[in-house]
Amino acid sequence: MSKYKLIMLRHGEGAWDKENRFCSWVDQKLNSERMEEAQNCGQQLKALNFEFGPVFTSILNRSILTAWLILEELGQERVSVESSWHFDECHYGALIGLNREQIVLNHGKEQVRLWRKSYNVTPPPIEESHPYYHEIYNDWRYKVCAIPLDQLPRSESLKDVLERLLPYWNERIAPEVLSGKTILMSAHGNSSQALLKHLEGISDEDIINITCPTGVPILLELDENLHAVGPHQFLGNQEAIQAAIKKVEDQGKVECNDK
Amino acid sequence: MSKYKLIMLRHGEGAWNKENRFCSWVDQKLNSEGMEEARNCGKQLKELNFEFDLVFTSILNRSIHTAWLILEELGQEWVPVESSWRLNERHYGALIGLNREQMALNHGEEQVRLWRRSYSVTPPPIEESHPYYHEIYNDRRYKVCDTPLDQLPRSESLKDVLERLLPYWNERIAPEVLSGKTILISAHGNSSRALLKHLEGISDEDIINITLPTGVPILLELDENLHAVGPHQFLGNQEAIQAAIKKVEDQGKVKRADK
Repeated sequence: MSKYKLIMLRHGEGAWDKENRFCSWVDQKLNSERMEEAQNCGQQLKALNFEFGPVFTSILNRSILTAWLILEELGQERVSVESSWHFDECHYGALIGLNREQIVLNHGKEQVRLWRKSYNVTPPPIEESHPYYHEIYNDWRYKVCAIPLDQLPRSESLKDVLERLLPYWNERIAPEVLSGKTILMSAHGNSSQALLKHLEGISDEDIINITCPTGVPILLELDENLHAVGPHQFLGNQEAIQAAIKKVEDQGKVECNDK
Repeated sequence: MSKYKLIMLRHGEGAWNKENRFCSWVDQKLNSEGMEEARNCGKQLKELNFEFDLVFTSILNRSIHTAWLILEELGQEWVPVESSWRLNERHYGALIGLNREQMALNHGEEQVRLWRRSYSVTPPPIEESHPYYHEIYNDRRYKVCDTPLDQLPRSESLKDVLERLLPYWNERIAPEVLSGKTILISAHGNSSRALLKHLEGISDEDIINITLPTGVPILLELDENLHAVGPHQFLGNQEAIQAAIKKVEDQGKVKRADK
């Protein structure tokens, strides 16, 4: 029996989305299209009369700005927003910033699909020589995390994402849900996936096929033990949602030029 | 000897500033000038290399948006923001929404100045018949405060503002300052003044003459007992700051049309 509801969502991408590059821990901004997506998301949640307790985000600005835009639409700017690295996108290691098309050409569709969509395959770790290494690890936000800088990931699989997210869910978020608050989580593709896997009990094999569209509120209803009482539901226009899912799935495919 | 620093500021303009109306607890948005003021404030703080640990705001969206815009300029969107009614602008009671010019013509500049600038004179309370009464008190944010709805103010003097602000300063903000955190307080004209009065030990008489410009970071240096070691300092271009102070002071004066 459904006792609690929570909303999670995957923010829209920024400039690198259009360039088909793995953004991951690089702190890209939302572009104007994605800001509008966030505003639409907020309007939908407002039409459904959602009143949020705390909001949880990652420490990447695109998830925070998405949350802010949604709160603004709702007129709920005063709701506390808590940001933690535990919700950061999956760390794509050495693949960060690389164009997916190029990686697919170099390594093949299947390897890229494995890296992107398998449960426990970890990409090669990011090295100090990587063009984005210092931009990431010199940022003060990673020096004030709950764990020391040198213990933060240099590469992750989806399994790794869940392992670092789960303590945060258990210690910070679950108690809020259990206290009856309606939680909003503004996260990323893989951090949302990881949490859905846990709450819905999705298998390692099946999680590969779960795609979260951007900017669509995902409703999850939970029982008194915080297990999902049914599959997650996308709120909004279903046709538009399916188109959004397909768009995200297509990102991994190579576009061949026909001559 | 200065041991701690904190930054406070008065948010920028909303639509009613231009119309010279007491905004108070009505949840007006910043206008584009006010947003620009906030961004400039953020840029200045960025130049001065401020790294905030925690931000406090009122539950009026204009103070929150100001904080968000500043954090965005700093690239510190992930810094926690806590919002409380205890940092709200002074409650102007029955005068809310009224045009200052009209009030000055009706009651005289001196009465209006007394209401605006004295320490303990309370304006007439807001009544249920007031056009903005329900807009304020029906909003859910006032149902989830630490004080029951019927005990929230219906009108305040500056003295009342300090009385409701001080417990929040003592219990929530001061401990954070004492723990060495760099704090930003994004507040309002009167809530900022009330706090400065307390921290700097300004007398009831002298506080009348303190004017805070909008969108200017105010630096306060405190000793180990959280008393100010010197007067507050406005950070930024001093000429622009003086012009901003004058702009605020002129708001209370009647403009006579010369024929």
